[in-house]
Amino acid sequence: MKNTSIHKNKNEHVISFMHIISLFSNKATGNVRTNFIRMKKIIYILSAYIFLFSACTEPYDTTLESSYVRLVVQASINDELKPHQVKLTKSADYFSNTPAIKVKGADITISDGENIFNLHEVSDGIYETDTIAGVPGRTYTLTIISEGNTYTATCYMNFCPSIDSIRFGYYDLSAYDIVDSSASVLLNALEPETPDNYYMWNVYKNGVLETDTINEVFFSDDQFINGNYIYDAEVGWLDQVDIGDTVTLEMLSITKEYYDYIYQILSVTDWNMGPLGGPPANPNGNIVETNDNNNNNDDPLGFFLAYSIYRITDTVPEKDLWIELRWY
Amino acid sequence: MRKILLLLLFIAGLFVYSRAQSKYTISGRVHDHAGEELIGATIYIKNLKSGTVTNVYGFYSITIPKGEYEFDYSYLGYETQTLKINLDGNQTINITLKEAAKIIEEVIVTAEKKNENVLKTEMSTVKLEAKDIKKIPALLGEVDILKTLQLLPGIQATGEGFSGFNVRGGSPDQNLILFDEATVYNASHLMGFFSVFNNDAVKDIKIYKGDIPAQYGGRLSSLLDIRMKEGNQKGFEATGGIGTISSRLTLETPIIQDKWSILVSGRRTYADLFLLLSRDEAMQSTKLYFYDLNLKTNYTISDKDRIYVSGYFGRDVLKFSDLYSFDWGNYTLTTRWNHLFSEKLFSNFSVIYSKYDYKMQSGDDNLGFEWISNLEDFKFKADLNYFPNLRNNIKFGLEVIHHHFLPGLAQSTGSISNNKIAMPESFALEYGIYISNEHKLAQNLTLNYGLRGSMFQNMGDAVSYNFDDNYNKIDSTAYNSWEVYNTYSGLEPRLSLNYTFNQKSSVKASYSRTKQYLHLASNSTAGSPLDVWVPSSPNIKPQVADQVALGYFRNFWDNLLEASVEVYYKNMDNQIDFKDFANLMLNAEYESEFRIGDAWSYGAEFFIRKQQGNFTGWISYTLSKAERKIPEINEGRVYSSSYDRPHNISIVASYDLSKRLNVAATWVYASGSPVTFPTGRYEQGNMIVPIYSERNGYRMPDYHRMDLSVTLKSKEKPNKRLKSDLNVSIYNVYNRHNAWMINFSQDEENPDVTKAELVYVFPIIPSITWNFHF
Repeated sequence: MKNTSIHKNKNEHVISFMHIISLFSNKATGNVRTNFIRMKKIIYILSAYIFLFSACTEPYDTTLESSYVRLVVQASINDELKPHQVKLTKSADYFSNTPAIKVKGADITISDGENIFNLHEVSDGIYETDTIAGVPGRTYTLTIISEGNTYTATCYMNFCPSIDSIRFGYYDLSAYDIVDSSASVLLNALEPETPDNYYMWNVYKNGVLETDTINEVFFSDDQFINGNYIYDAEVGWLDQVDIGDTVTLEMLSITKEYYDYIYQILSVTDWNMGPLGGPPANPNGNIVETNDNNNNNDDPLGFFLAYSIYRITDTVPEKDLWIELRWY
Repeated sequence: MRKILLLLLFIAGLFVYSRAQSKYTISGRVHDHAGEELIGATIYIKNLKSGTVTNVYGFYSITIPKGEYEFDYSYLGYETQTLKINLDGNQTINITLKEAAKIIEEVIVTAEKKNENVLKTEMSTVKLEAKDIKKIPALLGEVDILKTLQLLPGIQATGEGFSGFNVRGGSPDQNLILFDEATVYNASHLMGFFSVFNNDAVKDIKIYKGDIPAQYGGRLSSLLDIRMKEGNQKGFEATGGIGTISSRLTLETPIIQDKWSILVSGRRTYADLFLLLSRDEAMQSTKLYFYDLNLKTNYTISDKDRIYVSGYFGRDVLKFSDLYSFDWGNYTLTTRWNHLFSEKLFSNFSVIYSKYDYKMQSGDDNLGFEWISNLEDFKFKADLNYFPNLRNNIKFGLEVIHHHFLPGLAQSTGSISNNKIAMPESFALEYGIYISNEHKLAQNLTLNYGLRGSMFQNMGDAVSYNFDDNYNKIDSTAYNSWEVYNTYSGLEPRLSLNYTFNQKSSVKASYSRTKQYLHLASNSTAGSPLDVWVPSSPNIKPQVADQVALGYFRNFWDNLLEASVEVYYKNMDNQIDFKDFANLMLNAEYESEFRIGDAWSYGAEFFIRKQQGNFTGWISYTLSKAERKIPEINEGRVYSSSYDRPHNISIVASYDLSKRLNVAATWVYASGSPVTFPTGRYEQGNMIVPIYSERNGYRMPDYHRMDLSVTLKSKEKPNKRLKSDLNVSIYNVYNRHNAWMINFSQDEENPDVTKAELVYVFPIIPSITWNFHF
């Protein structure tokens, strides 16, 4: 979770300390695996903090080889009645430094085994279905025909439990000269008894999506909370809130493949630990090229996700109703 | 295995038979003034133009015909002692050598025998003395054996500032690190920045980069044999130091003069004490330190029997407020009994315990979490050394190790939940049996041949997983206690020869096969305390290496300058890498993350060293290549090993400006290590995700660094026992920003821009240390 206002503080101690806190608050609580991932990070950061507090960065000038262009898919469908979107772009050289090229004129369909939904290009590279709703329990297939090649992806739509309530939490930062106006969003819900559920959470403040990039999203598996009631688990973070703001929490029931995919993306971006981690690799999306007409193996990238969703909205109460959280 | 036993018996029989003429044996030990045994001291018989060296217990034995001889006992840095011996019966001669007085003028060495490096069959080995290591500038003034080793040819640091090393293109887990014969599984403190060996407690360090003696096995690439000091037999001695980040104290004293001595040595860092200055309570109660404790005692029962007990206890402790703690460390305990069966048959029996573990805890009584891992060994070892005559030096013996693996167990400890994840616990037995002979075939040709038989058995209580071809679990099998469910074994021949052209030059060649049954399950290049060792199993075959090496050794200027060139080729099978995004921590099915293939490395090593006089030091240059080919990695194409550093130069120089003032400098250069960089990018969820092409297809920027140190000794006065020195070290003198990592990231201001950043860790770092001795 990025908290830029605090990161900009000049006091190095505070920055490192906040860094640790932010690592801790990266994921939902109450689960041994996430606990240990946090712990692992804490250790690296702590050692880095104590011993390498002088660790510095400077721009590095390097030339990288060119990379061939691949189709990039960002597609999803959920169980809400609305147009569902597919975004097609192209990959580029690493230092291309321009927005991704949009892929126009593709023929796209989504099928649930019974119905086939056609998508229409609503703007360059953006395709939408008519207003429809997906059905949890079905498996969806995305088919894209673009520039003579055919790409497909399938994804199962899992069921989503309901949220009972949300509450707000804070960390005690009174030892630092920080005006802390951030809040954690806490989840209360019953996790279903079926195993192998995976979740991610989106947070909206006054109707605006706050978690609009992958590295801001909280996500978790149910390995250690399976079938349990989840009490005040931290699943969201807001940089800046005022009492009376409306906050919406969305819980998305996703697949293991997508959970792994997010994890892998973060492993090679925000969580990249250099020599302390393993060698970087390409995240495994679920798009497959089924009919390669130009015969040059395009290795499509990206993901087609089917998910179900539950949403709850609440108003930020007076601070004395918030819950004090400890980052350890 | 039975064949080897028979062979052993046969050879032993041969030697009993050869006892015919009227020959007598001179045997004994060579010590320094404090009663410390000297390892590798030379005993040279002038009349015979032949001789021997002391073994690791300072023992020697020479069997020659009746007659009058002149014996030279010598050791580098000590005065040579000459004895005239009229041999007409077996004799025990224990010798004490005096440390040579420091001579300021450059000395022309007398007819002493300092060309041991040329004459011995051993190659690809380097011996370092603890006192020489002290002169070399060190990071934060912490004198570090492992970092000094990294300045030798063929040995490379795994990363900036790390004490981890890799030898001749091997992985860091392929080094057998023995501290008084006990295996040290994780030789580093503080995330690898310091090694666990406290230099004050160390007597002798020897590294074997290829030609590992048959006596040792279990690792592919190298053997690092570190021997702890025995403790002063003559009088009380204290050594210590106060440094920038740690303080040390070593006490040695005889309990019974010349019979029983004891040594206690400790070191602790105090970086965390600065945290007490913090305003925040959480920071104040934060602990971050490590300590080492070495204990040793040895008791001389008689000329024939001697007992040693030594132990090492070290731990890193990290405590963050009262609710998070993480600590890890090694324990070793070695009990040894030296026994002379006869003047010609020396033996040592050892019982050794060693353990590496870590433990993490968090939370309170309601909701807690604990994560533990440990590896525990019990080892029994019998080593016999038979000296039938001047031409043969036979070693044979066996070892049995019982391993207990608990790679990882995480569980909730509070009252609220009772979750648990575990990597399977298991047990194993590892056996080794060996025989070797250093055989002088002719005046100028010596052959050292040996054979080691090794065996590894996985045992219950254990659960073994079965995987299909796609690494998916099919099922698992549970085994009972002591039930052997998998056995690997193999023969490991070791061979080396030395052909001496003259007293100044020789050519050496060696071949060795090594097998490794334990592996480090870690895909990071730097290594961390969380790394765990796992056994070979039905799913992981033992690693095997074959290495050939050829070397030319030449000394110049009356042995003042030693020079050598060695070339090697090493082929390694069943090498381990890991699948992309491998999950090796707390993963019960961790074996499915392993990917197995081949690796090879080759290179040339150049080394020039001057060990005597005011100006000492060495220059080493290594030209090498290390590659791997693993079917499921890098699309099956050959890729550079992460430890491939084609050019590697180290220059170490130390100069005594006066009796009191010494300056030393080191300069290191290494090609950047191979690394995987992105070539493309794509957008996903409003983030830019890199696309990687070839594994290790790029290189980090070249690494180079210069360190300096100045040591000022206190004035020597005849009746003053306290000697001290002040050492000022500067790490990275010209403040090179050596890359620790290259980070590719999205610009925060302009999300369409991606950039590369160099992260460096150690800028110029001065430090000061005060050392004392009395």
